[in-house]
Amino acid sequence: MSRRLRKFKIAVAWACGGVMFHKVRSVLTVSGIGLATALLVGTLGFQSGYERALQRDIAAMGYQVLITGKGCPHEAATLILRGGSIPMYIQEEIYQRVAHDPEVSETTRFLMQTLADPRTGSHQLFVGIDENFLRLKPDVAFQRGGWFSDPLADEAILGFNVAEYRRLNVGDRIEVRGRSVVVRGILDKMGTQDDGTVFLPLQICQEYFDRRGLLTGVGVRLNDISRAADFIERVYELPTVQVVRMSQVQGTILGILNGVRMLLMAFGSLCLFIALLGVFNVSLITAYERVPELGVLRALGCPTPTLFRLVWCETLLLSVAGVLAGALLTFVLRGAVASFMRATLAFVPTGAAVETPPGTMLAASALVIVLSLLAGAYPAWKSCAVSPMTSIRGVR
Amino acid sequence: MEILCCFPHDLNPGCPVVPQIEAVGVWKVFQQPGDTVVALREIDLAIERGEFVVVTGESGSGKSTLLSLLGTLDPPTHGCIRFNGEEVASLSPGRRAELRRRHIGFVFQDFRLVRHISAFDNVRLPLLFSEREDGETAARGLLERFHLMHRSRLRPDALSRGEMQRVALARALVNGPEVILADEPTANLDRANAKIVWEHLRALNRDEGLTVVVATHSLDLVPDGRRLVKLYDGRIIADERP
Repeated sequence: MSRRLRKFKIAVAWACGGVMFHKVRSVLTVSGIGLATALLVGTLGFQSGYERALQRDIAAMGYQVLITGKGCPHEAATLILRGGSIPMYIQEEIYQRVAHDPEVSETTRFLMQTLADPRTGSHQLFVGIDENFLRLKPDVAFQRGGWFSDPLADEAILGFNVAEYRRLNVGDRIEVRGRSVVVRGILDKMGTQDDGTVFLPLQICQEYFDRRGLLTGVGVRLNDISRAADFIERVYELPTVQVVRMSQVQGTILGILNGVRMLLMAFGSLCLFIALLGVFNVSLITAYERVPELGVLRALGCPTPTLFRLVWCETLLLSVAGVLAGALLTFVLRGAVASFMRATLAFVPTGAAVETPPGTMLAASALVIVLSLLAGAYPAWKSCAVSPMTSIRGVR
Repeated sequence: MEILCCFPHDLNPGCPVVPQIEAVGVWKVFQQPGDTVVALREIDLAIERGEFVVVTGESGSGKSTLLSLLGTLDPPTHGCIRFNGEEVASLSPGRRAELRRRHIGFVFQDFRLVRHISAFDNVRLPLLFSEREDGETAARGLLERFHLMHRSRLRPDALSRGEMQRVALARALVNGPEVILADEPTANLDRANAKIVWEHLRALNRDEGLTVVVATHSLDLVPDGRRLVKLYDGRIIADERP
């Protein structure tokens, strides 16, 4: 066995022995570090998961600019993202005018309506769509069946979850406001709000819900996004419309999230600070308790750096154990953290979860370990001041 | 004082050599608030390589203080301590630590074992700051020698007092010292265990040529063939060679 390995084994035996000797103290310290790590990783992980899910949801909508009726455009965009009904409409002729703008590459119009489902107590979302829907959403694929046979057919296309939960298949019939509709197609799982949506031909949806000639919104994809400002300026000349860029919606939502994140980070930092105080306190108590033993090491000729490293090794062990416990806690509690966030935040994108990418985990773990070692440095330094005379005369 | 002596096993009898440990005109005074304690007065003592020295005296006579000075744990207030001819007081604390690490092993009255690690880890603890290549083997060998191998995984609180002192003795020996300084090593032991410890110390001196200096207040079990240094009120009042 090499000398270096032998010394490492002795230091580890010392540190492990110390940690195991004071079980309650060690468990409390490790728990504090673990909780702080979990909070730190959970907060960072949720932000990362939220951003990714939001980007995915917005990309899945397939358009860059949304035109809605007068009101708060961000609220409208958020409701559309979430899958809700907006009591604001625009006239269908707006669509015709927008579609002919030279900057426009693709457009799609839609009408969103909800109906209460008395069996489940939840709401079912219905979206009337036109033939451009699939062109703006290239990722949409049919699991079974296909597109409507006719723009005026009493047919529906079901999102994956609707078909799954209601056990519906192509050819089955569903009832929408007293009308019988044939299931024409079932979409693949998208991981967005489309999974819980029943799609109807636009005109059929307008007819069923008594919204003839009305639209919830028009989604627009531009030829050149850098010229969106000119386009938006022209659209604002139309009466009773609001225009919003989806990138602005993303920015606004992330801005709101940022406030919550800062609050959580502040809470996490406070937890970390308290945990570090715990590390400092425990290391100091341990150093004080071990004065006779450290005195013996001094008497046997232990050099100061070795003594420092030996005491520090115990702090390192506690912090590494704390970080591992924190990582475990993050994995166990990430569902709960995501649920808490959903309950707290006004809008959470579909599928947003606490992500734990290795980079975030490593960075947070390294930060906690370094800070713990700093907290343990003073007690370790105090340990080095022990006189070898304490081995013979005891603590004075 | 001129000290010209030879190692007992020197191949060239008659050559002048310095004592292994030497105290010359040593005083030790402890200053405490409102009180001054003179622990040692005018101590002159030369210990040769391979000697077995028993320092005795009543409680408070200065035995432990003398041992701590000889072991370079504490500097004298006046006078000088030399180890292998080198003046110790002039050395830095780091250099003194190195001297102890390389040359001296300590055994204490209350064992001073580390409570939270096993007997084996206690024995090999000094290897943490040793360059000895065969340290692990030496630690096992010492445990076997002191009949502790079967108890090596136990923590000190699971050992008997006799076993604890034998672990402490093994710890003192693991770095291969030339000198063993033992401060009341049998004071906390029953007669049977005290006898075992004295036998081990004597064997180390006789068989391996280690210099052994033991401070004790009881001469009951002290083996024959030793040098006896008597202290009274911080002074050497007798120095009986075998």
